[in-house]
Amino acid sequence: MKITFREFHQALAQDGCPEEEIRRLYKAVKAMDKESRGWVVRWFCTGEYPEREVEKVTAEHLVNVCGYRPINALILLDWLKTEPEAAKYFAMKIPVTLSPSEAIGPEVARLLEREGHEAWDAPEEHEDLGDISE
Amino acid sequence: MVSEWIVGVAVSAIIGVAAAIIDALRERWGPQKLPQASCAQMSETDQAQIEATRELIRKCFGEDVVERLQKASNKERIDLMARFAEELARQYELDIEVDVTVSKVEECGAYNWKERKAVFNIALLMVDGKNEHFDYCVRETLDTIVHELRHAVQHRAVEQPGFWNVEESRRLAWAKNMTPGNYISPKANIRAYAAQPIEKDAVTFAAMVMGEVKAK
Repeated sequence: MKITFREFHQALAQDGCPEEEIRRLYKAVKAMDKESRGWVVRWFCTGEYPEREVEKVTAEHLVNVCGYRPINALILLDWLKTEPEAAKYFAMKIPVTLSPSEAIGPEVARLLEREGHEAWDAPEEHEDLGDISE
Repeated sequence: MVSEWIVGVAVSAIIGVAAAIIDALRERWGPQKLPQASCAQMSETDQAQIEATRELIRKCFGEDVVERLQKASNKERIDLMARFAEELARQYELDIEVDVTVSKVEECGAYNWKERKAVFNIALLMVDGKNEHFDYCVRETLDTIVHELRHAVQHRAVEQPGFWNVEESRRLAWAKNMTPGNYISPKANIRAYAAQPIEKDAVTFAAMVMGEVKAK
């Protein structure tokens, strides 16, 4: 099983996920180890969550009890494998920071430009992101 | 008195849902500390402000925050937190509006960048002081106030170079993180959320304040 960027993009865009977030998520999944990538591919293709328990939680628990979106739950499960202490610390927070990008982003970008700095990295629209396979 | 009882009952129902989610992870993991490797660097000015914040917590709540709030009524808890949040904003030299409310617990507090207003939801404190999670609720509420006001400090530092002696490289990293498309929500990618400059900084600052605050 594998996922192409086009399929991934289509599915997440339908859920209202912004363009830059889709690209970031895709890269995050590609950077996972083989086992975690496999979790995402299987969930994407079949809707099934991995049975594997990491630090006493499963992806299904994170989605159904803790309210995580499926991909974010798999990202957290992967993080729990590699950096358990940091992952647990952040998972137990109730963070609701409003996005500064949406609220004051353009204003800050103009400020940076006035100071002679690049406001943001140019989007790599033609970047070949490749497929994600198990 | 009756209205306070009604608010108490309604909020207890909300807390019940939140507590179930918190329970689900706390029972498995217990209390957690921010590991050193996940911390942002704090400057000398930051260190001094961290100590000043702890001092203000002692001034507002005494030596044991949990014990002080356990004994307080819901109304007193709201008043104590409102006073603390307002005094902290003044101490940080922030020209922002601060408000304390009690609403749905999914939102513990937020800094509204556009309106320059910090709103703190202290629903987590509207529980019986004997609740087994009361210490977590107190720490989480204080941590949120410090965290969100740190965002207000970042905002002013970006607009006003030199504020809090923030180094230029850090100021630029914060500014870039605030530009369109560059902020990552925890609901999208919790790991990337934690690693971005303004969150890593605010989480570290609040964790360092709370690390020395006495609570059972």
